[in-house]
Amino acid sequence: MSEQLPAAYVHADTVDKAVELVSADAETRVVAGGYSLLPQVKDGIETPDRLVDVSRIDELRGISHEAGETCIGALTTHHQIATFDLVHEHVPALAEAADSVGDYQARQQGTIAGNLVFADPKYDPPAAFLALDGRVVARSPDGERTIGADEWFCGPGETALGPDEIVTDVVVPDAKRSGYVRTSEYSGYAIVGTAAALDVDGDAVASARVAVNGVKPFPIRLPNVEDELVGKHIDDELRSRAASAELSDINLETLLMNGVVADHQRLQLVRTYCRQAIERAIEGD
Amino acid sequence: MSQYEGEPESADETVAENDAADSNVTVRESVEKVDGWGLVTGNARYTDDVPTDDALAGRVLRSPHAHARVRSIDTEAAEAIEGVTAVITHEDVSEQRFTRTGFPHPAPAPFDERVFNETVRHVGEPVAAVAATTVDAVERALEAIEVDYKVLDHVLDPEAAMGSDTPTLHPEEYENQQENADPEHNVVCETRHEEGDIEAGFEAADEIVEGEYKTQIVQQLPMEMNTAIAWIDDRQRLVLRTTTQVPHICRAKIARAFDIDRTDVQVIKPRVGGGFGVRQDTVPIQYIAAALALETGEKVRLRNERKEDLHVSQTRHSQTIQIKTGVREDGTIMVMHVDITSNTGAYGCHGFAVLENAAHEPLSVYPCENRLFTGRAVYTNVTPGGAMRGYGAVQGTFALESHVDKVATEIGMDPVEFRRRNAIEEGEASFEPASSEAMDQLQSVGVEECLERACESIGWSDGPDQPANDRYRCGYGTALSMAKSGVPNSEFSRCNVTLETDGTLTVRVGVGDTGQGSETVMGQIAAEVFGLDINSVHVKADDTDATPWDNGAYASSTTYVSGNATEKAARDLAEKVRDLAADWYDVDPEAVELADGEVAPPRGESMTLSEFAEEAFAGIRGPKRRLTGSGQHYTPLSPKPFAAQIAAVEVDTETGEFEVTNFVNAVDCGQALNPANVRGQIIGGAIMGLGQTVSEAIEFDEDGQPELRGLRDYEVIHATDLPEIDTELVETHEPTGPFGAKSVGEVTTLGPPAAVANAIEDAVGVRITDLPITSAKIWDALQGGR
Ligand SMILES: Cc1cc2nc3c(=O)[nH]c(=O)nc-3n(C[C@H](O)[C@H](O)[C@H](O)COP(=O)(O)OP(=O)(O)OC[C@H]3O[C@@H](n4cnc5c(N)ncnc54)[C@H](O)[C@@H]3O)c2cc1C
Repeated sequence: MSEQLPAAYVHADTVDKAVELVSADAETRVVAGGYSLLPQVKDGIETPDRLVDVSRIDELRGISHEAGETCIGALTTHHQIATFDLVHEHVPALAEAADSVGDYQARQQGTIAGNLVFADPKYDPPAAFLALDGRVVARSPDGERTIGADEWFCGPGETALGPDEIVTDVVVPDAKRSGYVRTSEYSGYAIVGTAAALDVDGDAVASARVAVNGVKPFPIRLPNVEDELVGKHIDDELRSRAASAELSDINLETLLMNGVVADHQRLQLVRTYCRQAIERAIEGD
Repeated sequence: MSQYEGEPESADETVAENDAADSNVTVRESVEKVDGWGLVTGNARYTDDVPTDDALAGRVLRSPHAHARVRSIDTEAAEAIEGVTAVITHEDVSEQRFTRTGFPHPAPAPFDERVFNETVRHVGEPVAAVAATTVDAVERALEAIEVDYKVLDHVLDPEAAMGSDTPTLHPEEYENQQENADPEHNVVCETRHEEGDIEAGFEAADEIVEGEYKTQIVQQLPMEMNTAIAWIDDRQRLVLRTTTQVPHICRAKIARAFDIDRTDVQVIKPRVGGGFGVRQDTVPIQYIAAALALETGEKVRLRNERKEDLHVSQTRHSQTIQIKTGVREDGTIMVMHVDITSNTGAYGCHGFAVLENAAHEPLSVYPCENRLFTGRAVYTNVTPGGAMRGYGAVQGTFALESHVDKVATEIGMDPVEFRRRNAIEEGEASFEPASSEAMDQLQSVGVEECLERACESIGWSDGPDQPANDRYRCGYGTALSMAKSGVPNSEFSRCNVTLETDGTLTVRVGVGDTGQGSETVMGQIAAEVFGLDINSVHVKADDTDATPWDNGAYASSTTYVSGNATEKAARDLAEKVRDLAADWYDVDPEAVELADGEVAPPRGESMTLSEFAEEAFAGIRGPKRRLTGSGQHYTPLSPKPFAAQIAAVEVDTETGEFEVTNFVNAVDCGQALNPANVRGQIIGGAIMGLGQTVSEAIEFDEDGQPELRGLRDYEVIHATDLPEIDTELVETHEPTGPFGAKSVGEVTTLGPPAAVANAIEDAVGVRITDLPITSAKIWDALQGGR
């Protein structure tokens, strides 16, 4: 009935130490900000034997920009991402998603890696991460590997991260023409959040990625909408075209049922907010 | 019996002449709350803020089933766990049936429950409780208790519950059944109140308009969880330190339930983190803490977790309300019929009283000749309904004020004009149960001016500016509401005011300050009588041992009822001061002036109250004297506060999403004795009403499990979700109130749901008739064609 706290709580001071600890025992969990994990532990949904606190590992912090990519340390908080000029400049969708997260406390405490690993369908950064075609850098006893956004999300709260892996960085390629918009419940969580990232050649769309959360148990891309955009000139017609694109990618039957928004209306919300995300992306410089 | 014990005795004495409103010193001033600094600096002590190292940890084992009979409970393994001091079940606690409902005995509620019931009727109902030396031992003991349940069929829907093929929740005999109870069909009560000739009313009408409205279950959600610490003191008395709005009623109920003398029970009410009605009742953990203390002889501490409180603490009743109105083309209401089915959940508690209030308060606003109210409260296997700010009238006002707009639209009249034409005026009577004498003519009614001021504030006659982009449409909607100032012929307060030897006053009054500021207002009232500063008055209101009987803080009674008692006590003391001064100086008492904290006899020097008190106690001019005044208030009257509220909304026609952009409260609460506090009540009430309007809801799955894992699943409205709120005080003067005051605690909770529904109708032409109003419902309605 009441909270069962894990038997052990240890700090890891280096990534290697953290990797060693998590790979030694299947019932060990990493804790960063604890804003996703601890509520689960309190509810008895997660019952780890041991928590490894990685929040003191300095090498997991920080944001840098190099060779057309922004590299964000796993422990970087939503607040840092939302207020850092570099992110706004190169990947506005990510900054906007980070800025949408809950309240000030959640943005101060929650980390990008924790958010992407927990992969809740109502979270904001996942859709931006997917639209931006980012990748996760993870380390295990076998070494380092990267996992692309298209492979990252596997199911409700499931990702491609192995049980013995620690996320060290999240990398996102530049997408100045990108944006994220959402509509939220009174709880503050997104009902629907949409992200769009456009690559523009001259004044035509060379490639487009549009992703949405809140529709399925994990964020998905909308290929039909993307196809509508590619090759088109950026003008008013494009904007309305994006909105009217058939959203047949979304299978109504697997829509999330959380009681706040009925399914058919959610489809409308996706249409509306998709258009707005695309408008935002177009407006990017 | 303790010296202060007093059941309601006599009818009201007439209230003393009120001072002219403009000569005030303390009242009508926004003096700081006397407990304000403590509250904001974290120094205030709440129930749980005392060292409890010496206390056993207590916890409740709760039913996982919505309806089940407890065949047997095996506590042996639990008792064997080290550290476990007591395990109690229905076999250990008296078989007496009662109601937890916090009204003076006998409450208007069936005696249909025990501390532990052999048949559990909702998920989370207490089945057993444990006290142990450590939390860990308690947890293990709870797991070790083996309960053999026979699961029974359950019913969640009130309509279904009244049918023939459904389980009967309360098949056993119980006392104090309410009007026309039919327990076999789960009917707690069935009431009917008729005035005039209903049929004739419909015949004389040009239009007949019908509507059905539904409200959801919500919770009060005070910040502090229900908490109870009980112990046996060195004189073998039971002491209960707990979160309550009604210390004296709590004491009486605990004494009765355990068959001990009231004088052997003390209830301490420290600072309390909000109540909003949930603390009007003596809640199960208060009985259980007492039972465990009596069983073990030790101090026991119980505190619900937030999730427990969300699952088991009493809710606002959900209701289905049907209204049929006959109206003339000129806008005259000829007849109203309101029919209500109210879901009272597992126990009768407030079923009857909430049902009555749901019809009587809203209907009182429109005193047409022919009015009929029919209604019933029904048992179902969900958490019992309780008292919550607005008490039925939130539901009834949503229905009636939505319906009034619908009627106005039907006959093509402006909804404000329609209301103005039909609303109650000074000298007219409210629509109350036939048994009540409170139908007396109302002596202060500011409805018309409230409407005017609200309309002015928002710019009603111009209507909202429409955005250039016609995807967004704006609308205005209004609602009138009326509440009360205490339950007539029931509320009782007694107060003693002592002149201390240093010239300060001690006010002893048993009101329950739960953050609303009642101790401040009582202090202001007493201070005003002597022209003293509020800092020269100390209000003692937190302990049944130190205060005379007061029903407590509910039904918006405190300022009016306890305030009147306080004013009378202060005036009684003032009279004694005058008499004594008159004695000293051999003058007529009438000639002794008492103002600005000074006593001024016509001959002789005026002295400060403190000089006077010191001299009286020193006994220089005669026998030593220490003066105490007392007063009590008990009344068939319950003056009504009124509000006109207007919501402005913007609706996104593409998605159905909407925002309440502005909200206006124009409120007649008589004289505002503490304008800052009054504004706090007005705004807080409106916000609570807005939460119920747009998001809050407690739902149960088909097994009767509340669908809430914790606070994060309860969509309480946040400060950042709020519109601009404008508050207009429309001050009338209530001649029977202390310094002209009526109540203000509940009235603004009533209007928001209808005001918002009406504004949405105004904006996009669709009417949402079930709460909460969500974007999905609007979108659905918009798809259905306008
Ligand atoms: C009140 C509240 C409101 C919120 N509102 C929003 C919102 O509106 N939008 C939104 O997107 N989110 C919201 N959140 C969620 C918040 O963004 C996430 O909880 C947070 O980002 C998770 O990060 P964390 O560091 O706290 O993760 P933790 O809780 O510490 O960890 C989460 C998971 O990630 C794993 N993990 C963490 N770091 C690593 C790592 N480096 N390598 C491998 N695994 C790791 C943990 O083992 C765990 O499984 C809200 C949370 C709260 C409490």
